[in-house]
Amino acid sequence: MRKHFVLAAFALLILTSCSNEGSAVNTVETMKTPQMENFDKAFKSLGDPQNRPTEEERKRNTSELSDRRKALLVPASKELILSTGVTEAELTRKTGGDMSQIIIWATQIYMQKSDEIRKNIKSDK
Amino acid sequence: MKKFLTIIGLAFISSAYAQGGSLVINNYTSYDFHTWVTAANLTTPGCYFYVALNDPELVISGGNSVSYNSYNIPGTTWKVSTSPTNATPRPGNHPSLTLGGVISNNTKWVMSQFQFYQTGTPLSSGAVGDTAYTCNPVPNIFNTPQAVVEWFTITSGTTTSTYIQIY
Repeated sequence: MRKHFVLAAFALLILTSCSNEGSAVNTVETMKTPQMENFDKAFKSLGDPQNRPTEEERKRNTSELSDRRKALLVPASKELILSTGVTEAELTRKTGGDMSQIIIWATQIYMQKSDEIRKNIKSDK
Repeated sequence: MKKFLTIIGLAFISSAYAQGGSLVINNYTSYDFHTWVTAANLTTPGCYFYVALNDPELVISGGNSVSYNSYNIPGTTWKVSTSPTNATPRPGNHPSLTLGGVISNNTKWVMSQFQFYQTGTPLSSGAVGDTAYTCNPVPNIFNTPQAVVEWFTITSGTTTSTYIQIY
């Protein structure tokens, strides 16, 4: 009986140590900032049924995202830009409120931040 | 020498035509997305000015995203064609293909040929791309039994960001 207890205790130890090991592994996914996560969510939301391209948008014969769908990306883009220390006034001055410019700027920041995270993970190992 | 002059010429002709844009691929499905991407210069008539991924294909596993700033993707080889008569393979880190390189600056992403995989088993395939690319016309939305693949751009001035989304 005692032997069983000892065994169970060992098994528990091994199990917890294994699960701790898992949680200690950092991935780009777990190290994203909340602003990066929201930026992800905004892009993903373009696939929601109500956000898919309408018949009219499909007929436009251009691959440029429609203004209606660009607008869905702007709040998260702004949030991501402001999280780097850029002020609201600078954002307005640099982009003039142009949706495309705001989204492209945020995309560049997102890529840069992902690279930094990847580098940090590598240097941790 | 002639080649050099051609390159210089190209650089001048279309200095306003900058790739300067990124390619982002977001795979929201659980399937692996394998793709061969192509870029081209849309202002040169004749359809011969293009850069196509030769080997290996890009693999974006289920639930993952990738983004690239140029053709300089580690380990890739590209088929580069700047004349009607020849296409030469070049590694992605060739100076002309890296960010700011002459080919990179004069081409933009136009097409993704793709195939879905699940644990190594090939599933449906298709292609999406920029509808402005008339040399090899493909739709900008493609439905497969696995997922919808959408291609779109966001453009501001001479900068274009290209996105492939897999829902």
